[in-house]
Amino acid sequence: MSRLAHLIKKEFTQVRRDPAVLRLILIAPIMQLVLFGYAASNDVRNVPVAICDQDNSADSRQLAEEISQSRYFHLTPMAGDPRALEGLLLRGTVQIGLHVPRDFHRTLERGQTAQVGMYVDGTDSNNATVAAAYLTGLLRARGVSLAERSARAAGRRGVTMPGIRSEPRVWYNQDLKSVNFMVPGVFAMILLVLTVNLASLAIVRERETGTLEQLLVTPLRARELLIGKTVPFALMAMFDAGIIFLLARGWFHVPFRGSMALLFGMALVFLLHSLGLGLVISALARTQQEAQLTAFMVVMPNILLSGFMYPVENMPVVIQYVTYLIPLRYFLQIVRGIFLRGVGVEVLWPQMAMLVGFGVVTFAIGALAFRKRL
Amino acid sequence: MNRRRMMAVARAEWIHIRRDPRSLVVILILPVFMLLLYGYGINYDLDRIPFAVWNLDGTQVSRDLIDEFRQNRYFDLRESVLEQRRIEELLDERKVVFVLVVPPDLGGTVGAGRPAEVQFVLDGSDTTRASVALGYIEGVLNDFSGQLQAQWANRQGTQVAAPFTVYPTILYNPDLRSRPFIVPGLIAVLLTLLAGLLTSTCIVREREWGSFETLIASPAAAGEIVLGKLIPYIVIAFANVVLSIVVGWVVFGVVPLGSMALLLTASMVYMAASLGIGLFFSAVSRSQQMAILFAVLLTFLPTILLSGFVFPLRSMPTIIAAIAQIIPATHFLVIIRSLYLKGAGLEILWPQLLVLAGFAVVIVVVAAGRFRKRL
Amino acid sequence: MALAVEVSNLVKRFGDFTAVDGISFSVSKGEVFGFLGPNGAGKSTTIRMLCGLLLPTSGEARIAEHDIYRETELIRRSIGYMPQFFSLYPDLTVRENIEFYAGMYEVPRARARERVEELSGRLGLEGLLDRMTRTLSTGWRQRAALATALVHQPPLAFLDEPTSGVDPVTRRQFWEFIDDLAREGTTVFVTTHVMDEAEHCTRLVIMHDGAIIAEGTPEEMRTRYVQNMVEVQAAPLWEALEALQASPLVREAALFGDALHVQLREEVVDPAEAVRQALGEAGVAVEAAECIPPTMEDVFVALARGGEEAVREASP
Repeated sequence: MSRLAHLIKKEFTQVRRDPAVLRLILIAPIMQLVLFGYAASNDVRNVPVAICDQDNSADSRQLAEEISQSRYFHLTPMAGDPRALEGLLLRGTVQIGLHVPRDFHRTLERGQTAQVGMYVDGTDSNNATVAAAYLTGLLRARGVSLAERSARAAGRRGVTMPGIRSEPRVWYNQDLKSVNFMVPGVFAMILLVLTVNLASLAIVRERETGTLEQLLVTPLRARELLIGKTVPFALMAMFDAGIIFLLARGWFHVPFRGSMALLFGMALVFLLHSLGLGLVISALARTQQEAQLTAFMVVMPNILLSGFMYPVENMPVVIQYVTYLIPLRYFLQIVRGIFLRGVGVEVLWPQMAMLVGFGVVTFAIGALAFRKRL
Repeated sequence: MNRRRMMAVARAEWIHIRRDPRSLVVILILPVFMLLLYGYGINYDLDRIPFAVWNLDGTQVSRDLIDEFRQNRYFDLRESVLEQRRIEELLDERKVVFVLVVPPDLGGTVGAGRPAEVQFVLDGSDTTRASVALGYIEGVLNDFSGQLQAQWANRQGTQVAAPFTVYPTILYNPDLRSRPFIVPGLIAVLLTLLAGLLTSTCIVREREWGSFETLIASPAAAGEIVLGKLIPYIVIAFANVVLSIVVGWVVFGVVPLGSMALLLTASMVYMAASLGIGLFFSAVSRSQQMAILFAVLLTFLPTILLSGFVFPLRSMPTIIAAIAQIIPATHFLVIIRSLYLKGAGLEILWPQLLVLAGFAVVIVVVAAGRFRKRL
Repeated sequence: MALAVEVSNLVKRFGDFTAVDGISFSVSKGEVFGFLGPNGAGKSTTIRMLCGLLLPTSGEARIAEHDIYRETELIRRSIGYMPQFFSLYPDLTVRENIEFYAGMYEVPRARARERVEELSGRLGLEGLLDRMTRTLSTGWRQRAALATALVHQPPLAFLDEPTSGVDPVTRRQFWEFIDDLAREGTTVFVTTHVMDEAEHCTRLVIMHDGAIIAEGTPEEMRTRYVQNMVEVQAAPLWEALEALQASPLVREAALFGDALHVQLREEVVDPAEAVRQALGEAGVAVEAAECIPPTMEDVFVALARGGEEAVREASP
C-alpha cells in the first residue's frame, strides 16, 4: 500500500470511531431533508379567515360557504361583533377578517353596491399579499355571479359579465410545491456544510492532538497529505449527496429532468471550492473550537445569501454584488437548473465557468495554506 | 441556595469573560454585524418582477391590459415575444419570471361581454417568487376586470356594475414591506445564536481546563453554579438586546409599537431560556466540539426553520408544527413581532410569556440536575 | 568516523526572542548523544530544526550528511522522531498507530508486522496492541510512541524527553532499551531535563538560554566543571546551610535530601576540613563531612550559576 492509501485508511478508521462525525454524516442529511422537505414551505394554504356576518342572509352565508371550500382558506368561527375582529387579528388567530354589514342583502336587493370590509394582517408581507389577492379574486368572482343572477332575475337572458381570468401554466414545478425548490437546494447545501465542517478540522485536530508533528517528520509529501486529508471528506460528501438524490427522487418525487453525469460532475467541482474553504479555516484556526465556529460563520451567509432560501433577485443591489462572491449561488442555479428545468451546458455555462474558477482558486489557496511547515 | 456562593461563581465567570477581550468584542459586535448584513440582505419584497408579453390579440383591450402591468410597480416588462420558442429560452435562462400570453380573440370575447382567459407561463422553480408573482397578477387582473365590468355596465345602461366591492385594508404593515417582518425575527434568531455560543462552551471549557473538579468539590450547590454561570451571560445578552433594538431603529427604522419594558422583559426571559438550553448541552457534552455540534444541529437550525422565522407554521404538516411548539423561539417570535408590528400588550401576549418563563425555569432545573451527576 | 549530526552556528529567532543562539556541535554515528537543559533552554526548538519541522533563522546543519535547508525529504527518510508531547492518534489502537507510521515510511506490510511484534516484545507492549491509545497511561503511551518512532529502523533517532512523566522503573527500562539501540548501531539523539539521566549518554551537551554552556562525556563534565564537592550532615541543618552560605570559601551550598551539598572554591585544598572548620566557628555540630564525586545535577547547577555570573560580569 502506498503512503496515500495508508493515510486515507487511517482517516476512515478515525471517522468510524468518532460518534460526533458519524452523526454529522448520517443525521445531517436526513435532518436537513426533513426540515427543508417538510417544514420549509411558503405555500399559501389554510390561511385563517374570520367572517363577521352581521347580515346573516342566504347571500352572506353563501359567501362564507365559498370561502370555506377554497383550499387556500380556513374559516374560523366567530361572534357577530365587528370589534372582535380586531382582537382576533391582534392575537394572530386569523390573518384576514371580513365584515359583512347588516344591510348587505338589502343593498343587493335594491340593486346598489354594498361594501364588504376586509382587514388583512400585513405582518408577513408576502403571505399577506398573496392571500389578500386570492381572497379578493374569489369575492369578485362571487360578485360577478351575483350580478348575473340579478340580471337574469330582471328577465334578461344569456347575460354574462366580461372579465379576465388568469390561466397560469406553471413550468418546471407544476404544483408550485416548495419541496421541489428546497430539496435540490439541500443537495447543494449538504456538500458545503459537510466538507467545510470536516475539512476545517483536518489540520487543526492533528495539531491539537500533537500528531501533526509526528506526521510531518515522515517522508509524507505535502501533496499526499493534502489529498489524503480531502479525499475521504469528498467521498463522504458525495455519499450524502447520493442519499439525498435518491430520497429526492424516491420519497419526495422531485422531478429530475437533466443529466445526472453533469449534476455529479459539477458537485465534484463545487467540492474543490468547499474543501479549499475548509482547509483555509483549518490552517488559520488555532483550536478545533475556533475552526468550528469559523466554519459556522462561513456557512451562515451561504444559507441566507446564496439564494438557498431567499431569492437573490430581491436583495438590494449591493448585496447582490456580494452574492457573486458566494460560489454556492452558482452551484444552486446549476443544481436547480438540472433538476427542474432539465437544462445543460448550453444554458448553464456561465455559472459553470464561475464555479470552475472559484473551485480552482479556492482549492489552490487552501492548498497553499496547508503548508508543510509547523 | 446561597446568594454569596452564587455570586462568587458569577464573578469568576465574569473574570474569564473579561480576560478574553477578543471574544467579548466578537460577542458584542457579531450580532450587530449580522443584523446589519442580513437585515439589509434578506428581503423578499418582490418588486420589478421581470416578465415578457406575447400578444396575439392586438386590440385596444389587450394593449390596456399590458399597460396595466407595465404601470404597476411590481412588474417590469422586459420583452415583447414574437414566437413561441422564445418563451422557452427566456424561462430556461431565467431572464423573466413569467410570460403573459394574450390569446387572439381577447378583444372580441371581452367586447361581447363574455369572460376571457389570458395565459401566464410561469417559472415555478422558485416557489416563493412564483406564488407571490401569481398573487400580484391576480390583483392586477381583479382590478382590470372591475374596470371592464364598469365600462360594460355603462354601455349596457345597467346602473350597477358590481353588487359589492371589497378593498382590502392592510393592518400593522400597511405598505406590506418585508423588512418590519424580518428585522424583529432576525433579532430573535441572532439572540438564539448568541445564547448557544455563549453557554454551550462555558462548562465544557471548564471541564477541559480541569478546574471543573475543583468547582464540583466545592460546597457550591449545582443550582448555584448553574445560575452563577448564567448571570454574567444574561448581562451580556442584555447589552446585545439593547444594541439590536437600537440598530433596528437607527438603521432600518423599525421601532416597536408596543411597550419597550415588555420587550426588554420578554427578551430577558427568552435569553434565560436559550442560555439555559446552551448550558444544558454544555453539561451533557464531553467536549467543546460536541457542545457546538449540539448547539448548531439541535437549536440553531430548528430555530431558523421551524420557529416561523421564515416559513409560516400553518404551512407545515401538523406534526412538524407541533414540534415547533417546543422551540422557545416560536413563542418569542410571536411576542417580538406582535410588539414591533401590532403594538400588542401583556393582556394579549401573556400566554407566550408564560410559556417562555416555564421553559427557562425547567431547563435551568434540568441543567442543574445533569450537572451534579457527572464529572 | 562519519558524523550523524553536524551543526554550526544554528540560530532561531521568534520575533525578538532568540530561542537558539548560535549553537555548534556534532554527533558521531553510534553515539547516545544527550541534549540537556532546563525547560525553555531551546532543546525542542533545536530538535525541530534538525528534523526539518522549523526553518532556522541562520546557520548550517547536516543530518545524516543531508542539508537541512535543501534535503529535508532525504533527512525525513533517515530519522525517527519522538516528539516531546503525546503524538499518537488517541482513537487508533497501538497496533494501528504503529502500522500507520510504518505505512508512512513505506515499510512493506509483512516487515511492518514483524516490527510490531519485535518492538512490542522489547518494550513490553504485547498485551496492549489492540487497546485504544487514548486509554493508556502515560508510561505505556510513551512506549507506544517510542515504538512508532522506530518502526522503520531509522539509523538516527531523535527522542525529545522520552522519559517525561514516567515512573522510575519504566525510566530505567527506557534507558536500557536506548543502550541496546545504540549497540545495534542506531545513533540516538536524546533530550532530557533530568540531569541524572545524562549518565547513560556517551556524550552530551548542556544547553541554557539558547546557548551551549558545556560539552563532553559525563565523566569529563563532572571533573572539569565541578570540584571540591562535600556532602555534609549536620544539626540543625538550616543553621549549617546559613553558615556555609555566609562563608567566603564556599561557592555554592544547597540542600540535597537530608544533607547539604557544598561546593568550595578551587583554591581550597582540603574541602572537608574547611567545611568542618567553618561550621565549628558557627557553632553547628557536624555529624559527617566528606568529599564526594558530583552528580550531574551538581554539574548543571554549577554551570547554570556560572552562566548567569558570566552574563552579569559581561554587562556593565
